[in-house]
Amino acid sequence: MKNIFKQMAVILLFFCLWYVFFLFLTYHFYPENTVVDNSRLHERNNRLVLGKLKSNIFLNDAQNILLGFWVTKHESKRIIIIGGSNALRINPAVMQKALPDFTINLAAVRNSNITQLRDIVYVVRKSSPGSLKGTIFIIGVCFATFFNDNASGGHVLYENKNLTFLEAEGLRYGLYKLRDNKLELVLAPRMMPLAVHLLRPFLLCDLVFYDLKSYYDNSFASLHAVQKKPQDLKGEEFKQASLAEWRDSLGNIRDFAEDGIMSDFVTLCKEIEKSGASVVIVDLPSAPWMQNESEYYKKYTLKRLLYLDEDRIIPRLRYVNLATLLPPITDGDFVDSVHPTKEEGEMWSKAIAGFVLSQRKFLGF
Amino acid sequence: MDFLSIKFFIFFFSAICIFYLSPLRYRISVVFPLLNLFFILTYVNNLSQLLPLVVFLGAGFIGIRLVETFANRVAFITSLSVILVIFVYLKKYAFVSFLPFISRSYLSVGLSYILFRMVQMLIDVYQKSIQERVSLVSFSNFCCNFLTFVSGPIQRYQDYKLQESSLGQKALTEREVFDSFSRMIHGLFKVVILSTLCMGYYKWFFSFMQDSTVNESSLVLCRKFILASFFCSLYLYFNFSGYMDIVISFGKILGFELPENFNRPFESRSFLEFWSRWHITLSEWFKFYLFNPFVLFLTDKWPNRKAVPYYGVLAYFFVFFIMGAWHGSSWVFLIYGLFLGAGMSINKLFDVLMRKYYSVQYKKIIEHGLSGLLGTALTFSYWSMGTSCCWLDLKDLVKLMIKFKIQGFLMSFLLGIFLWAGALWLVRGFKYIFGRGITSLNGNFYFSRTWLSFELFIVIGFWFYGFGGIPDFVYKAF
Repeated sequence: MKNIFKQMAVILLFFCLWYVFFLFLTYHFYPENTVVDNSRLHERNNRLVLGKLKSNIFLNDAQNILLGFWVTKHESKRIIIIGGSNALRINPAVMQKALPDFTINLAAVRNSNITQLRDIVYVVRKSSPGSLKGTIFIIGVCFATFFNDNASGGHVLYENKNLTFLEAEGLRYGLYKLRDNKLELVLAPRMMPLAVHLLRPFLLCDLVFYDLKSYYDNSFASLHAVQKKPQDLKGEEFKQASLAEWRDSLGNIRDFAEDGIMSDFVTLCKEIEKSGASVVIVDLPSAPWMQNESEYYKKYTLKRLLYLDEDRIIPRLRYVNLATLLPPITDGDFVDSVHPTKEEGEMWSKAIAGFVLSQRKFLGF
Repeated sequence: MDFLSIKFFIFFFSAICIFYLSPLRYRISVVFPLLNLFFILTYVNNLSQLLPLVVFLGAGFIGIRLVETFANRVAFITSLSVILVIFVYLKKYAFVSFLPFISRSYLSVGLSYILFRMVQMLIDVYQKSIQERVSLVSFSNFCCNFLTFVSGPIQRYQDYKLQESSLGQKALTEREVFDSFSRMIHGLFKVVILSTLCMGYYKWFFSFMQDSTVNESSLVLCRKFILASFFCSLYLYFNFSGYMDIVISFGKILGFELPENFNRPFESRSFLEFWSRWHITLSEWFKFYLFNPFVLFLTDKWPNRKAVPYYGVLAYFFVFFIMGAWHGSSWVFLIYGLFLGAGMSINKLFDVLMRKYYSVQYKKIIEHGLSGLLGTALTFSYWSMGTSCCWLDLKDLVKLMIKFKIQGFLMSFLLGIFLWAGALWLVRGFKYIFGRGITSLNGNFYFSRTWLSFELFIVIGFWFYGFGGIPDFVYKAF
């Protein structure tokens, strides 16, 4: 038995040496976070970018929020942008120029619905000691934000359970658990920054594995023609493929944007407002052809009149339809059905910053 | 209990402590049964789920006692039949789907392996190969050994009993302990990283294959099929042999010598050789308890010296058909059985004919390096194509057969031989250049520990990375 424990101790000692070495490497290549910014993380999908994201050790947009907020300096005046993948096209640098007193955190996550937005708000609230006074939440919504949890949109299968992307990432390192379909911390909030720091060597592993896998996937993909994605198609074929993809991802139209979901969104906004923060709901535009042809979009336009109008009566909360602040939008302003081009994204960012400035009295700064 | 969970490793360390801290005389009679029971209980939510397993084990034990007591053919055949009937019923085989099965969920993990152990004991008791009376503790320890409970290896009772009696008499040396830990970490590496990657790629190519349009050239389709098959085979190998590494090294630390199940199977030069290197304990079991009796039966029935080698051809087909069919409860595994049976019997027939007519040249051909390379590639390609039965259901397999026809399968087979021969050539070249250097480095104390701990670090990192996507042990289902 002595020999068993002796050998175990030797292996453990060498393991610790590796651990310390990698920990040192992470601090060398990825200094501590000053801001949560998902905009570049979103771009890392599908290409080899190891070493290009020197300011960020987190693999994806969800990790950046779930872990990143715990090691990000909590500024007294900050803007946190949440929403889906189209909100990820908002450019924080452009907003920063217009709002120099604020720290801009782009904390949007792809395929977000109300459940994911609630989880993000939960992380922000738990990671911010005291009141959220001085924090402005910009919630970028569009028709695709209001899908039911049972729809397949953005869900990943884990141990036969359908999890949202954020939930799966939360469970990955065991720092969060799921209770009643909501993410909850496993550790006390004061322990979280330490836990995130201790995880850094493994976060580095994530980056390396991801990049290696992307490299091999691309190598194999070049051997075999992969089925065309809607964005590779053109004209009417592209539109029909996109509409079919949305139908698949947003689920049954009856369950989509139903009253319960809309009420949940209103409740979430009220909760944020109660915690001391201000809220700006930005209705992000979709491509004009999508507005005309999608049954989901049509249902959403009816529902938003009922529910998002109600939100306007809450103090420190503003609603804006971004399309009203922009020059007339065309299909050419979008790379697909909902995601704007880079230039259009910058215009969105300027318009949102301008709106926030114009509402400073109501937003309390 | 999932072998790739923190729970398992807590169990692992606790088991070592409890086992070694307890007095020697209680280790087998008390501690080991308790560890087995605890391990099995982690698979069930309530005790009633254990009832079918208890009935199955009870039937086996009573059967063995009956054969011990009466020592006649009737007792043996009755006991064997009862065990087989209960097994078929509990496994819910497709060919007895008309039976009213138990609707409530129950523990079915490891049933096949328990069957092998019980049948082996029954036959050996009947043939007097086991002389001493089998006690309840030895029976339960042997059948429910937590090290081999989930998917083997299939140990013989006589071998287990020898170890039981000599347990704790010899302390492990530092080198032995290090080698065991080293093997365990290599096993984890295989299961967590290599099998996950191979599984991912086989699913990837499989989905490409399903998406294939009718207009796609047949060569592209064949390439997708053979790559999916290759990755599936590698996935099975890394998953199963990795699991064996973990279990055997764990057993070694506790003082048990479990039999090896793999011996570099992908270096086999023929299909006959392949089955002496792949899932060795299963092949041995079938050899002892099915192949040999069947050949003996044929020889007794038709005693013709010249025909004896051809009895082997027939026996191979019969035994490997059964073995293939055992792999699953659906009809597609009958096709798998036919595939294995055909492979073995054709290989045996070729061997018999070549030895008969071209004895000298055949020996030279076998010993030639190039023919060895081609034989290895041919074996792997054939076996990989056969494993497609494990990932296709009957409907998909029929679709594939219609789409491919004979020429499609032949083309895939040839392409597979070409690809695998190329891969082997590269591996051998690498070994030739770096082999000696790596071997000498492994002997160095600091290098071996540094490398092993790095491997462990990478395994943990990948375990986090592949969260939820690390495959479970594939043979757990048997």
